[in-house]
Amino acid sequence: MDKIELKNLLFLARINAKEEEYPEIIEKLENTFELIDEMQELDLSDLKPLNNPLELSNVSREDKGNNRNNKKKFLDNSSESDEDYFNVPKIIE
Amino acid sequence: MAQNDTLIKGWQPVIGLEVHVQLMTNTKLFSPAKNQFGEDANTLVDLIDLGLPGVLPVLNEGAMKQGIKFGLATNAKIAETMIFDRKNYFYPDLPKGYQITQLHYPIVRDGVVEVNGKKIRIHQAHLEEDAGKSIHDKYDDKSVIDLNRSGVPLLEIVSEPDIRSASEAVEYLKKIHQIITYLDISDGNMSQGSMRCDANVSIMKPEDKEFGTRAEIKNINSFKFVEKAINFEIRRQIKILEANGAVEQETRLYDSIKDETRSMRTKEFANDYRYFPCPDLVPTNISEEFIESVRKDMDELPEEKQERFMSTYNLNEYDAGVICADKQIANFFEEVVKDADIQLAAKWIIGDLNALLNKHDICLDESKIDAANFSELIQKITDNTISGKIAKEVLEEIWITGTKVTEVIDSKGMQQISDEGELENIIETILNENNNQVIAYKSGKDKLFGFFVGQVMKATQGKANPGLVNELLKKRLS
Repeated sequence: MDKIELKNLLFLARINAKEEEYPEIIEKLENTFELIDEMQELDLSDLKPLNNPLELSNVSREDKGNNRNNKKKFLDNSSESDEDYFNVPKIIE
Repeated sequence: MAQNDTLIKGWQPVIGLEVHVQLMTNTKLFSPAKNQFGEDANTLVDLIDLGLPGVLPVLNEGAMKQGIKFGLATNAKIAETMIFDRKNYFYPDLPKGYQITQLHYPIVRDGVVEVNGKKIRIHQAHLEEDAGKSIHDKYDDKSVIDLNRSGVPLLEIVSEPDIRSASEAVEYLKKIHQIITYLDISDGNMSQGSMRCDANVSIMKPEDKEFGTRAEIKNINSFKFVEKAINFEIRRQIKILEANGAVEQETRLYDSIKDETRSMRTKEFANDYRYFPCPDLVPTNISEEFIESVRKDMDELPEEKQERFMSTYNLNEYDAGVICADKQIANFFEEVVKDADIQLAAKWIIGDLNALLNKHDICLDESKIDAANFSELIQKITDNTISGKIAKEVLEEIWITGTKVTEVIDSKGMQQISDEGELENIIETILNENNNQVIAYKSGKDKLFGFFVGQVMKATQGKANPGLVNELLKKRLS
């Protein structure tokens, strides 16, 4: 992994790392990649992909409402809001 | 070969559509907040929609049922096991930082719909949650977010690239619209955003084995714009390729005001969504029994309704087909004919009402016409209060204002003149004023009869009862 790939990854994950931290992050990530490479060597052609380690089927709920809205509290909990909306930096298309 | 009909300047357009349909559930896909359009901002928001730490999504069975209904209606495979994935990206209207969607194991796969006798395959339909809404015009220096829509269930219906022209894309979209409205899983209202469409467009030479590079057009919100946007994009790509250029794979936005598509790309590198199975939701098994229970609960489909209308209302196949093409219109028809003449109502719905809807490119729900008022209009024609010609004027008026038919007729004095004495007087005046024509008529110029009828109509601003005028004129001139 080079610096450019790392920068891209940090941007996508919105992680704000300093340039001097890069070598350490790259080293840790490369250790992880090595571990993945090791696993790739196993022959798993007979196995069904495992999407979740829990052998459970998901629960669902009936399509019924339960109003837990608390507009004022929710808005107050954000870093910036007015009486109706969450306020965010201008999004330019 | 039929395919050659779709060539443009020797190029074959290849089109696939992604249709996002907002499902009409009571609550959101993973939270118990209400799913409703048009409420005050941020009043339909749950802790789960806010993505607060520690909350867990719980799947709405209603949304699952609606997805299955769509699959059954399109002869698709329903997943034995479906899996929800996280699509990761940061945007202010997505508080969690990821959208829960389905990538590899969608609820529905391999469907098919028939459009003008041609089969168009559906690659998959998957469940996902909608994002909130960003509003940019409240302040100059910041944007604001309304999360009422955040978490609303969507069914994204992805076609195979089987579509070959812009008009075929519109027909396909209308078919999807018909299916979802018939199944009552969505209102399909494009102007309110409950049905949205992205189009993947590329062009190739007919002899080419591989498709060309495609552009994805986002944000198309009416049937008319689908056709225009695709046609614009086809022309743009032809221009590029004929100048030996290369089409870029990119996302483009359709601007309906300028009637053009333009690049939306703002970043140097492609977005990488880093999909992975959502650890909050384990795989969901869907049993045969569950699917069967959904099947039993399904509403009448268009073909079934058409059959019923033919037998119950004695409509011919064509009329029943036109009325049943749109469920709203079919329901409207059933309301109208509770009190009004069936054949006359059918004629007016298929003719004048459909013409208005097409002209303004809206669906019945978006118009000001309601069944009771329209029924009144038909009844006023049947009981001779107004003539067919005046009825057209009344329809134009209620189309614009939504006023009650009786009020329009009263306030504008549109009642048909069926008073024999009054009409006889008018006829007398006209015959006196047109003595030469009377002489000509009596000497054998039969065609002048129409002239006299026209004059009576003109003198009464079209309000004379046409049948009666004919009868009285014949008597007077014989």
